[in-house]
Amino acid sequence: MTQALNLANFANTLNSSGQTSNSGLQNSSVNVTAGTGLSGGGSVPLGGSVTLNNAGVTSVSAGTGISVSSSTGGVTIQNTAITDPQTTARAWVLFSGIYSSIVKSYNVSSITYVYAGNYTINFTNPLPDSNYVAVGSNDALLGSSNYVTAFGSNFAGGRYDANACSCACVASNGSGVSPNSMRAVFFD
Amino acid sequence: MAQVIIYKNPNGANVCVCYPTGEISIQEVLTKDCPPGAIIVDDSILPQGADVQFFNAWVLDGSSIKVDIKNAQAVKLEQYNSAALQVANQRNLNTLAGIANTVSDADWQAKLSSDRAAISAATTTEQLISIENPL
Repeated sequence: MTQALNLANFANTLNSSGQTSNSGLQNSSVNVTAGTGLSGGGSVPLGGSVTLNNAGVTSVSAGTGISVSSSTGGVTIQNTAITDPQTTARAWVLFSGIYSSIVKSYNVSSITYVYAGNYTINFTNPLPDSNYVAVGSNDALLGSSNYVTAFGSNFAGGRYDANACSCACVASNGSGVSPNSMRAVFFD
Repeated sequence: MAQVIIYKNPNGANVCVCYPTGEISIQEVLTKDCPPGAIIVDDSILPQGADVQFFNAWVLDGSSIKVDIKNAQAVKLEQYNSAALQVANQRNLNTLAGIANTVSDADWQAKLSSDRAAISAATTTEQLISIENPL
């Protein structure tokens, strides 16, 4: 008896084509949730529509030294500049050999003046290992002596490790002199 | 006023001066690059003028720095002797080549002696730098 009554109620919601309206359904809508990078959504009745909008990246452009494969679908971003760390300096510095002035530097946390013409260059971030290449120059112009820029641990307190490197401006007789400027570059 | 870190050279009598580049804080430099006992000071306490040329004679004086005149004399004497050696070599080459030196050997050696006496008697770095290397 109960079944006959329910079927009658259902029959009342059918149209002439035998289709029922949403009001005749227990679950007449679905809820659409916008995921990451999307906006919109919400409750939409069956047969209705809802719009989801891209709220994140809307375009991709390549800056200097970068290439982008496409703007939709799978996108590959590639660094087209030189990326081989062995071709770029790990650290470098230009400083006064006499007095308290560090002009420019990269990956150098400090310069310690140890003796006249003898310095320790301390790296902000350690180099990969102690087998790096150090090159440098100075502008000492005193008398007729020749002055060279030397690196290494071959004197008291000298260092040549991943965290620091000793650097000296030395005359041909081995004595240190303070040049106006010292320059050092490190590769590894 | 800029700040620097000073400490006694672990391998010598002089003071070491550490100048941060600014890539990290001076406190981090103190911990990372300097030995225990190093202190942060204003760079205004560093010796000035003629004293700058005698870095190897800088010594700690409490939390400040002074120039040890005996060490400064030694620094000057080493520089003087190094220059004298070069001049002496040139004088010997001149003699071997039959070229007369402009100053006689006796006068030149007398000048060396008087200059060395002046270095030993100097009481300031200004006096030391006023003594010119031999010609």
